[in-house]
Amino acid sequence: MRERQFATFQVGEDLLGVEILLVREIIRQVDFTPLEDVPPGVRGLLNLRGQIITVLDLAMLLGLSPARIGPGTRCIILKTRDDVENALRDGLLEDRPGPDPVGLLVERIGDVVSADEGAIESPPANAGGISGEFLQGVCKLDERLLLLLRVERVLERVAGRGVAAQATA
Amino acid sequence: MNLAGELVLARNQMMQALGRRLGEVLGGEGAVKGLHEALAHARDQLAKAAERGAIDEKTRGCLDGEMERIGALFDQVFSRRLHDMPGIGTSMGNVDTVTTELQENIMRTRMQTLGTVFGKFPRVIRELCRKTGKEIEVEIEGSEVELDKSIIEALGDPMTHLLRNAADHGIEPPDERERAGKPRTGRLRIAAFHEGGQVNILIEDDGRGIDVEKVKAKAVERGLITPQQAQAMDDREAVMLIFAPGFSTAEKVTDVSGRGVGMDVVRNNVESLGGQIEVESRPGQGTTVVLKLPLTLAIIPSLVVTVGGRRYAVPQVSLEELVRLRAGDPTRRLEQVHGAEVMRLRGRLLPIVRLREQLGMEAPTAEAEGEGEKQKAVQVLVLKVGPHRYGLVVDEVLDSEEIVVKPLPVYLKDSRCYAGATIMGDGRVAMILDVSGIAEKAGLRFGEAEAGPTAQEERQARLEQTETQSLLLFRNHPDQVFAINLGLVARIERISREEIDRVGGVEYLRYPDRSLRLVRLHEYLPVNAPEREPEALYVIVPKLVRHTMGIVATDFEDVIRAKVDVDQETLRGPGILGSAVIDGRMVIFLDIYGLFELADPELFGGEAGTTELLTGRKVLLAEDTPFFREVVRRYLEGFGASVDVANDGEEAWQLLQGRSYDLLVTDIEMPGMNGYELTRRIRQDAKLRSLPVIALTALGDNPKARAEGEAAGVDGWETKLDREALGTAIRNVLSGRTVHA
Repeated sequence: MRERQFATFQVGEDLLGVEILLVREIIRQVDFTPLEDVPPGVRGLLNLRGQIITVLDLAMLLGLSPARIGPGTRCIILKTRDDVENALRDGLLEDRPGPDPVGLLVERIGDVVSADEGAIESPPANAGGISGEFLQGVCKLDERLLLLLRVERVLERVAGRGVAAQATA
Repeated sequence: MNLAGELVLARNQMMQALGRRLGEVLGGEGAVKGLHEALAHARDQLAKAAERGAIDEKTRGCLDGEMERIGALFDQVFSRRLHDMPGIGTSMGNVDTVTTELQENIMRTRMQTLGTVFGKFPRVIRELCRKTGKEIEVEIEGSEVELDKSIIEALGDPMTHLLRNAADHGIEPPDERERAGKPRTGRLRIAAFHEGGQVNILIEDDGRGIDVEKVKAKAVERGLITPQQAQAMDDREAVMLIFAPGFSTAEKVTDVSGRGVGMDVVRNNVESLGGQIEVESRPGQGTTVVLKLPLTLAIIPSLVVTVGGRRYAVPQVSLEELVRLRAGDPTRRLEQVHGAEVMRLRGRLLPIVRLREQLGMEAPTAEAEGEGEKQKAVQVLVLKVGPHRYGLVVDEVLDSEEIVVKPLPVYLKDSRCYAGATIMGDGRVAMILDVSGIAEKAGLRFGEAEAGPTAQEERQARLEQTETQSLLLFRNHPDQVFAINLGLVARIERISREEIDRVGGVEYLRYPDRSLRLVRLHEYLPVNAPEREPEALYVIVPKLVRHTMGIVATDFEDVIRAKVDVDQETLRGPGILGSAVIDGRMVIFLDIYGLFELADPELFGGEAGTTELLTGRKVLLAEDTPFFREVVRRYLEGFGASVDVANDGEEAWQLLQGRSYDLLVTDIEMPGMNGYELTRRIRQDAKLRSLPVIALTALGDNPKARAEGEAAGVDGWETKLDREALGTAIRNVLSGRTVHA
């Protein structure tokens, strides 16, 4: 049975996880340039060693109240579709990142959690105020429920379905 | 390529950091210099004091020695500080040079000649000739011009499209050409050349040109513009309609140029390369399309501005000029026209867009606005979008900077305000503004008044340039210079104060046989009184006035010939025509009739007959010189008429089509359609033929000119600036004494 690993973090009251294969790095740097005239959920742009990262407020995209920036705030930089090309081809990934690099702004970061494929259940219609469409599943940990994020759907909320189509083409 | 960009960025960052440090040091150096100067001055004073005997020589020597030591000590301390950063300036310079060189080298390897694209065009045209039976000669120049590889690659399609268009629609079939008196073989010229940091590519044909009326009609038919808009458009704007989306989905898709690809696609292609496209058409003679392209895509010069504390980069290629509107300056400010904000710039109206609003930022807080906005100037960037211009209001203009263009992340692709992103010297991201996207978002509809430099405007610029006047300059206070058009001056007399008599509060200049009423400017106009009255005074005696008076001046300055643009906003009021800046000084232009009327309302308020005839009447005044236009307009309004002004014959003719007038007062010598021509046209027009026309001319009593005027159908012929003669002529013409057949 395949074991999958997730980087976990806190969004509102919920514990969420994103597939570790999708995570490039987690940074403390949050001095992004705020933007006007952009879709809701886009907080700004960040220069990460010369690369422009779109900073997204995950909480907002999931329909929760915007993330507050504090000492615990981190930015989870996700890989791009090009970065994970091989993993996608080999079928190692259930989820797909976007074509341009993004950073998910989260209020607090958690541990990396391993979960057996079998322990992952399909998502309920709604888990902790988060619609099931944004989740690939849930996984029961010792004392709480880990919600497994479907990044592809979250990114579609910002860029529209065009992003997915563009990559398949 | 990207590495070169990064290097430029790194250099910019380093320069910024080092610049700050160096600034401190150099500031220190300035302070040392200042100290040395102060010391030298003190020692100088000391020497002088000793000379006067204020201090004895011994004390002086002692103090002088002290001061010298202070200077030396300071130098020591400071030079040690400089040594903290040995040779920093030089190495910074080196890094700069090397980086620039490296960037240029890398660029060069990416550069390709246009020959790679141009090479295939002769064949394309030959093939087209074979299909259509046309005869076309292709000329190619500038194949050696280099452009960034990515631009070259993207140029092929749009250029081919433009060429096919020129050959298919532009150049006529041989027979038709022959009938039009042209050689059977059409000419198609493709030329590339450098111009101001960009590459221009011309595609020029000697065909039939673009039929503006047809283009307009088609645009109206396709619902792209309203008939009213079409009417208001000048030719240049109308030609640009061919690039409007939905315009060129040709009804018959010819095999040659149709292919269902519209000119809007061509335009988009060129614009996505950071370029611009312009079209010029000469009916019956041909069409020229100009592509203006940047040399490279990755690094562009830009201007950095701020709004709400955030920085934005504006590509220099779109920037026409910067305008600073000082608070409280009535001549340059934002105005409201039909509820939209506009700015008047050299006689044209620019629509104004506030970047803050387009970005959806909140207005600045009340206190910030109260404090800031009132005192602070408004910064307006004049930006061009194709042939159009608009003004973008920003908070601050920082600096121009070479920026590395980063494409807009896909998540922002729906934001119309941004064209890309870049990383600034401090490592933060700044957005690159999309100049045309912002215009679109703001809902600017270019047309009518807010177009770019139109034919009308160019004509206006030409007119303004030609206005040279002879002016008499004089003063009545050391700080105020007055001007009167020399054509209005009969003589200038130098008098002594004793020659002035004062009778009943009014001053007269005594002559042996008569007296001349004198006018002191400060008694009637809001100007300064002389500080003290000199023994000798000047009296300026105007002519072309029935009851002339003498204007008293304390100083006669000069007679000059100058091109002046009389500003009628800053200074205005009865007796004052306006002001102008001549040789860096403000000069007040006097309206002598207004002044004399103030001085003696009974004598000058008169002309009752004229006033009676003209009150409530509509008069059209055609005069190309702004100065004369303003003077005569005042005369006419003084007579009670409501006056419309036209800048030349052409404009007058247009106005006559739209409104009915009771009288035309026209200058004779005007560029384009002159006064004779205008009058002849009026006399030939069924509707206008009975309109009374009075010609005002500087040609005076030139009998030949006058005869020509009468032949053209002028009812009255008078000298410019002569108010009374104008009044008499109006009375004569309107009371029916001279009725035109």
